[in-house]
Amino acid sequence: MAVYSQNSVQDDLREFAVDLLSETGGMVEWQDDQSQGSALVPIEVGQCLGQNSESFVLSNEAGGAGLSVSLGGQFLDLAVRTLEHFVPMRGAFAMPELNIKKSDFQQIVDAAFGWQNARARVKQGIVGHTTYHTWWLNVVLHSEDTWETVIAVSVNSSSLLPTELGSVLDSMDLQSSKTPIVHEPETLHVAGMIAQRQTIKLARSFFDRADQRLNRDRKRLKDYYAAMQREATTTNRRTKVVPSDEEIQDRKRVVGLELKRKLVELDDRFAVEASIKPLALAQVEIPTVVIEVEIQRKSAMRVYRLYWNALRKSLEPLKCSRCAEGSFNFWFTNDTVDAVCNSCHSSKPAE
Amino acid sequence: MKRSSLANKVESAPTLVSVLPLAEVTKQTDSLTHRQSEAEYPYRTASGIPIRFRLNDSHLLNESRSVASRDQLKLHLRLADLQLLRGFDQLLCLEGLQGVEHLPHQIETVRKVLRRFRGRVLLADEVGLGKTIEACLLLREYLLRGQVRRVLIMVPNPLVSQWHEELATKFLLDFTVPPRTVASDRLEFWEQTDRVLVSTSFAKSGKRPEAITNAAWDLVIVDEAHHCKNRSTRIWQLVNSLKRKHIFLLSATPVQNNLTELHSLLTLLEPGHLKTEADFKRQYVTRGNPRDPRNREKLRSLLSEVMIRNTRSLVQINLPPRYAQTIMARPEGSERELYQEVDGFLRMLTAKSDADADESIGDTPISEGSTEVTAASAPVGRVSRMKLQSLLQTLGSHPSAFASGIESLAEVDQVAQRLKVLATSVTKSAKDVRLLELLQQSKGHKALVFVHSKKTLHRLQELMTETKISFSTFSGEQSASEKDLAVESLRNSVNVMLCTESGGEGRNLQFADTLINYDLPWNPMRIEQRIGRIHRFGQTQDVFIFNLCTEGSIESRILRLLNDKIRMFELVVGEVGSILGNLDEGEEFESLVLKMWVNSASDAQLEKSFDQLGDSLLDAQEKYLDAKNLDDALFGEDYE
Repeated sequence: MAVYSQNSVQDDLREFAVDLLSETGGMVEWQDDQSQGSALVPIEVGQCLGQNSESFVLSNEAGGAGLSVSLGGQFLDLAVRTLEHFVPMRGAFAMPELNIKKSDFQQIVDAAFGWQNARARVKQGIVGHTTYHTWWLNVVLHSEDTWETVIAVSVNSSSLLPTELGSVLDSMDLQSSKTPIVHEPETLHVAGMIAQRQTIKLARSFFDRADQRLNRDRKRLKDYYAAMQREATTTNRRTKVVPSDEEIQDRKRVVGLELKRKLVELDDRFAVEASIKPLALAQVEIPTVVIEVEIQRKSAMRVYRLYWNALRKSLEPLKCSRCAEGSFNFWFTNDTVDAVCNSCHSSKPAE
Repeated sequence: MKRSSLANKVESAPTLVSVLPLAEVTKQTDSLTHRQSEAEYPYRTASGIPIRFRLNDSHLLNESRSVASRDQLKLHLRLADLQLLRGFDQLLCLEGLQGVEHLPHQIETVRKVLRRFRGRVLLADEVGLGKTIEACLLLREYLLRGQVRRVLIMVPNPLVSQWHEELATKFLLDFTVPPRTVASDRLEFWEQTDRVLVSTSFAKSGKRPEAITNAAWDLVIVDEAHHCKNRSTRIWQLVNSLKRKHIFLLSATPVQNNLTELHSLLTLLEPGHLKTEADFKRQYVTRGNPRDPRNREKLRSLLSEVMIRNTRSLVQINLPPRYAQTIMARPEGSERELYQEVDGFLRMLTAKSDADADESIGDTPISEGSTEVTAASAPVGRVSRMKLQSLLQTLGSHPSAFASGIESLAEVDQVAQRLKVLATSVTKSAKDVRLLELLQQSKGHKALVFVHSKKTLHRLQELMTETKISFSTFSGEQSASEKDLAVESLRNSVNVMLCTESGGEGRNLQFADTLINYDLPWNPMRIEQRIGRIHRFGQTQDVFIFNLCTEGSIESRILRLLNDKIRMFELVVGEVGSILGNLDEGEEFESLVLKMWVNSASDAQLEKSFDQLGDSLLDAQEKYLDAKNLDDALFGEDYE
């Protein structure tokens, strides 16, 4: 993780503010070495940023005049609002310069599936373009602590499978496109699911910490109320009155209820609310070859459609029939052929 | 069973990502409290903590269909990266604060509570080290991060207005004080109001506890938490029953009489942390002496997990001594006549007011510098207590302030008209004369002259100009740059700065060593605030405080009470709050003073009432000192 000094953060903030205002139709003057700058923006942008005029001062000091561009305070929240209002978050691109050399698709397929007792036969390869969606998702975990990250997920909008495309926005081959954005809800749905799984892996230490704390707190509560239960049976030392069985049961019931309530409260405190918010979408058209493959073992046979894209230069995995993860693994019986991922493969077969 | 707040929140969540198979999910263990179905929470941690994913795509609906460029998309991602920087290393609460001078130990405490204590802590700093600031910084941090939305703050009644004002002006947080109407008994009020500041006595009385405990809170703050020392009291039971995620208990003296009180307090924070009361006594209390701890080291180590106590010696704040002197001014001529007549007139107004059963009984706090009686709609005979208090306070400030205050009454009442004329005829008051003498004697010292009313401020500006004394002015009406200029002027060129109540908050005025209270607020906390402007961290010189007051005025009685009874001007800043918090009367101090004035038919009666209040204050102080000594002995100077 990058180490940020106060100055580098301030520089990043300043540069971001300048770009944001310029992008929203404003003119900004703010020198690198100055603590203040000035901006002239369309009035609606000014209002969105909490300013009541078209021109205002920019300052990197908290509580300073005009728009205070700092990490605390409201700047980042106002910037989110402004970006959402004035800067589109969906872009359409293409990579027309990428070439597909005619090659032996059977060879590619053989390299991916090398079985002894089954075969994969290429029926046909169609050269064309496929649309991919790269979603950037902000994931925030709220519990008694917080954890946050940004996850990028690329999805093939035809197969609805996640595909690794790398940092597409940095690619030299990327060009703007006028193709309308399509299949957005479907790819977002897939991206959301992938982000969930990645979060579970990425935030493991966060969850481990929460588990440790929760277990410690649960034990403490249980020990305490168990002791209270034991004390419920004791004689009052001052009055020497021995409690009746009914009184003891009553006391125990009350203590039990209190423990239950405290445990519920504890669980509430630790429950993780994870929000996934799409930040941006890049739709990219990439030259691809769609290869129809016939997978056959004994009498079982099934046709699958495989994608080979020019950016990745490899076959994209197939969709696991049980968990929708990408996979090159198959499950064969005498009568069935089924694409099943590793983890589903190692668990018991579907009935 | 009532559903948890979280479950409720979840019900209203936006679009859900469809449920995934449980391939990667760790199954819930049998030790869990099951309330959510597997379908609701497809993921759980190893201990069964439910993880609920929500896809927040509502903003996509508003998104225009225009297409973004590469740079525009990158702009969105850069903003997300900047947002990721908002970790606890970078405290958000410090930016944008107004007039809060936070000290290193306070920042350290905030970080500790956020990281180690996970928002459940007893803040037990010694008096004057800023527990309130720490709590408010933490509150702000949680709010800014969105980790907390619903907050309940419970404080002793005399401290409500102080908290309310500081939250609003310094931390920019608006809190609702429950109205003293039936609305406050209803659950809806507590459920629908996200930020409530309530006095403990109000919260625990009537059917309110039920309503308050039925509402769920993200954060509860209890000031002067030692009042929750006894488990059998309503207040302990109320706090214990509150549904809350985080809780801060604040007390400089968590142990008042015996160690079991500490057990009771910490049970509110983390039940079982000190085991049961019987276990605690067995392990940590010397038999026969409930004030004497056993196994000190072990106890300390346990306490350090739930309690933070900064001490003066630890944070190395040792302030130079301060000296206070009262300067009594004896009015002459028309001023004397004015004081003699005003009392009778105001009592007549009060009598009429009572007869007319005017019941706007002083619940609205008087705002800073409000000299003008807003009595346009209130004819003589129906003067509210707030107006009455305002009139009495302006009288204690300066005749010119009183003349301005009584103006609207003078339009409809002949006696008021005469009083106005009398007040206007006083060109130089007795206090003016003593002030000039004092400034003459204090040559070479930098002095702040505090006034309560704007009118008095203007009068003193004229007086300084007439007598050719160079001065600067610092008032709430000025812009930030004008205020800076005033402070710079006092630092470099003039020796006197005239200030209104907010005088110099958050600015370094430690180069000044003299404070003159030209008039005296009725609320001792305000007097302490004034003192705190110069007798604070960074002060290296001895500090001199001069209190000017007119003979026979209410202010002179208050001064006698505070100076002679509890020796307030020798106390450490912050101790007054602890003493007032111990007052059984449970009312704002200024309301108590006004009540005594209204209920006393003669000077002798008023004197007696003040004596009684003095005794209560003394008791409260003794209680505080007793607890302080016990806590000092218990925790030592080096508690960390």
